Amino acid sequence: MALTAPLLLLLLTATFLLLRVAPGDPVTATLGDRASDARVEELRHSLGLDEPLWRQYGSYVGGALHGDFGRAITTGTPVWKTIRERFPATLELTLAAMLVAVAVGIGLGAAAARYRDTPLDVAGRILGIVLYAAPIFWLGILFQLLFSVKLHWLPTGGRTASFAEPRHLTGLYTLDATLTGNLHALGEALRHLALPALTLGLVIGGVLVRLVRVNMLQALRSDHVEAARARGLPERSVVLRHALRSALVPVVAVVGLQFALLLSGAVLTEATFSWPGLGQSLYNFLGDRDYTAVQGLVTFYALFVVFVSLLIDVVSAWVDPRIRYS
Amino acid sequence: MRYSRRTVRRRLAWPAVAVAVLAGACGGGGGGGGGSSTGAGKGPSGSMVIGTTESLQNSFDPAEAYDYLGSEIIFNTAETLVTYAPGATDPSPLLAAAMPDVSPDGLTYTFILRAGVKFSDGTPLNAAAVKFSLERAKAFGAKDPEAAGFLLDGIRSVATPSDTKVVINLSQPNVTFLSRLAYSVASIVSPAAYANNVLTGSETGPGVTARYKTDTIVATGPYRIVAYKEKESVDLEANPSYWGTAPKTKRIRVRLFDKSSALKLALQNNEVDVAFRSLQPDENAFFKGRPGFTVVEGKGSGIRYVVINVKAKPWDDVNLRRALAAAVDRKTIVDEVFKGSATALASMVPPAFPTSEPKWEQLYGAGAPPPTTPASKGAPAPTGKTLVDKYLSAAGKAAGTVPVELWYSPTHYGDTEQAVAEVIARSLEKTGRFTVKVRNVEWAEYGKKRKAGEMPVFLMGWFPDYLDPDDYLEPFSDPNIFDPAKWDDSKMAELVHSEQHLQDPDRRALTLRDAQAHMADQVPYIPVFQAPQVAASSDKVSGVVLDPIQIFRYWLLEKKG
Repeated sequence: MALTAPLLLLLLTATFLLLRVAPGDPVTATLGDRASDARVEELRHSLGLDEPLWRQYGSYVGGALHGDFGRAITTGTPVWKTIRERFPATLELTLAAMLVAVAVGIGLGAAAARYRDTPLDVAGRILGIVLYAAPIFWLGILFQLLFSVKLHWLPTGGRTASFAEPRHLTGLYTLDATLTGNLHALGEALRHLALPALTLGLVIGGVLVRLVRVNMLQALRSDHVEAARARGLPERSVVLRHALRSALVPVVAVVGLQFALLLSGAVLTEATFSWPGLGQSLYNFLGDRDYTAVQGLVTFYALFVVFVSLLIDVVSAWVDPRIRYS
Repeated sequence: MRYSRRTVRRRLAWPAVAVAVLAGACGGGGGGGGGSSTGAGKGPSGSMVIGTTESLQNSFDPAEAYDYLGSEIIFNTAETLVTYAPGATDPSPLLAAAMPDVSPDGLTYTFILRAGVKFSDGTPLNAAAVKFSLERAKAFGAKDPEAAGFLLDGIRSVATPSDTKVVINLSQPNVTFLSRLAYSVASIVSPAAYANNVLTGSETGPGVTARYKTDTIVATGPYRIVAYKEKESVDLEANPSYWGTAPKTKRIRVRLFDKSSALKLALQNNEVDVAFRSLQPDENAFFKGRPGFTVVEGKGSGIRYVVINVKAKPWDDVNLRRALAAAVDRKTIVDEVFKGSATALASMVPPAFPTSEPKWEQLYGAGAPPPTTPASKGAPAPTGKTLVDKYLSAAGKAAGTVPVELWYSPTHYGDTEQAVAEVIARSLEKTGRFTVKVRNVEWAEYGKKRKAGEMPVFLMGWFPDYLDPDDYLEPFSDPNIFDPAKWDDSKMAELVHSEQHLQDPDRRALTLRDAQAHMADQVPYIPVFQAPQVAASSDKVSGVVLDPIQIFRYWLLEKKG
């Protein structure tokens, strides 16, 4: 945690500098072709873009420290409003993808370890590598073509069917639909969530397969598992209750770290599936070189990753009392 | 260590609560209006989903909107005094009960308003509302050069002798005035709803834009906006107090897509009913003749052209520009890139207008193939290569090659843009007199480079505001409006000024032709092609009308079954 503040500052600085080095100009993108030079200068001045870089930087960091991300240059929308409206979609996708990743990772990893050196193990390992190496957009398009275009089972994109949004409570459609008892909305939300979550979850799951397998192999050879076997416990109980549980302790920590990867993967997943989340907004704002919006969203992402890391640390300490943080 | 189930449940509950709290905190904003839970299947009865790759550039305020999507939504939610009926090229009355009386000097237009019309907020339409709306838009236009209000800058005053009578006085006669009144900027809005959205006179810069009413519109059109989610969707529903024939579909959702490929998949999977503006040519071709789908084509009004920066060396030499014009092969662009669906342009004024004069083809041929219009009767038509050599010799470059830096923006005009640039480059190099370096940059940077004059030769597009040849000439002759070629020509300005004021149609036609001839002679621009408007839809959808007016009329759309 001690490194959190300097890391955040480093990230803010890198974002600030990279945006200014990249070609493109948010003012031109905002005003379009017909804007006069005077108008361009006027807007540049009103946005503070004509100020020295150090002063812009100070204003940006100062604003971020006070939780003020400003307004997007190109749309005029407060960045916090975009976050409020779009983040629930990203959170819902990320959580669902994490469920897929954990299910695939633990299931395949544990099975591969349990049946070591069998065709199942080899297949599990190869699948883990392939999934991890697969570009998200490629996997997403493949799923769209198969499940949407060929089989017509699932929609190609969006968060739900048109006019099927649940009443707004939290912004998580599946949760809102459940809380309001709207089964139609729940069904549509799940149908739309399936492919993006599967795509993102499988890619992250590829990492977990190998990790769970390695940990599981170690656990299966450990003394307490041997002792359990010696006590005559059924093999199923030995594997699931003793080996898998101890193998999962380091996995919990890695799952937390994967959240950052999930969020970056969500940008591509959202773009592939027209998923109206924060990642898609970031993608659009980057295209428009919208300094303020990109800086605000990246800072928010960083804070969220810090929050999740903290949460995972706490959960890890609860799950394994041997873990103590000074 | 073994945990009891209760302990595990309690421990797992904390993260769940944290997530729920976080989600609640994040979701507190209301999601931009959100949608309501209605109906079953793919939408309630009487609903339709239109998919587009357009996005809102600024707002739904008629005084500001100057982009496709903004104008399209306004055309479906608001109305103007005059409009264009489907397929018509002359305006007809809409909120006006009849076409106006125009004074012989062309300076005064007197309208009588239609009776019984109400705004969607329940207030009545009257002469005061017309005066308010036009003066409001004009005032914004004077302060905000990016807004469409400049189209009304010819209005000197608006008088309201009675509740139903409006008299508009112009500072100078302008034959395009009625066409301008048919554009979305002249939409009549409710004075009650926009009372706080007017300029007081002291605003500047961001203070001006802060006065727009951005997220909704209160007017008299067949639909009203019920929700807008930025870069996601616009929801419309039929205006219950609409004075005219009720729209055929009760609810419309306009879904905004980032990429045409995603839009194509959504149509293919029946998630959208209509895909309009813009699938790529090969994506439209995919739906052509495919069971369950239909493709409607209509004449477009937008034009695509090459800009030559006349201030950039060596393109300040008119003969070099002429040589370049003679080398551009429009036909191959149309055939190769658009599979014959586009139209090669021989003038900046499209051929749909009777006053269009194919001067570029007459002077410079059609590129590599022989020109279709002979330069002189009886003489063999010059080929592109012959003309290129002739003009290059006149420029003092009888031998050798001329380097050309050709720029394009890869996404703004769709995925075909790269192919267009490559075909142009190939046609130039085919003459053996040009060596071409093709360069591209994203739109945000493209605009910056254009303004700075850093691109000597580049591709652009123009989509008119009102349907008149004037809108294809004035923006290219007046540096105050649009100045991509940095061409400031007094003769051209005079010709455009004349055609705008000439009441006699024959004399005006003559002047319009002269203006095109002068522009072709000086070649700051090379017209290239005009793409058609294409809408692909489910075959259950009817009522798709595409005409050069560029009003996509949602109220005519109907879905069967």
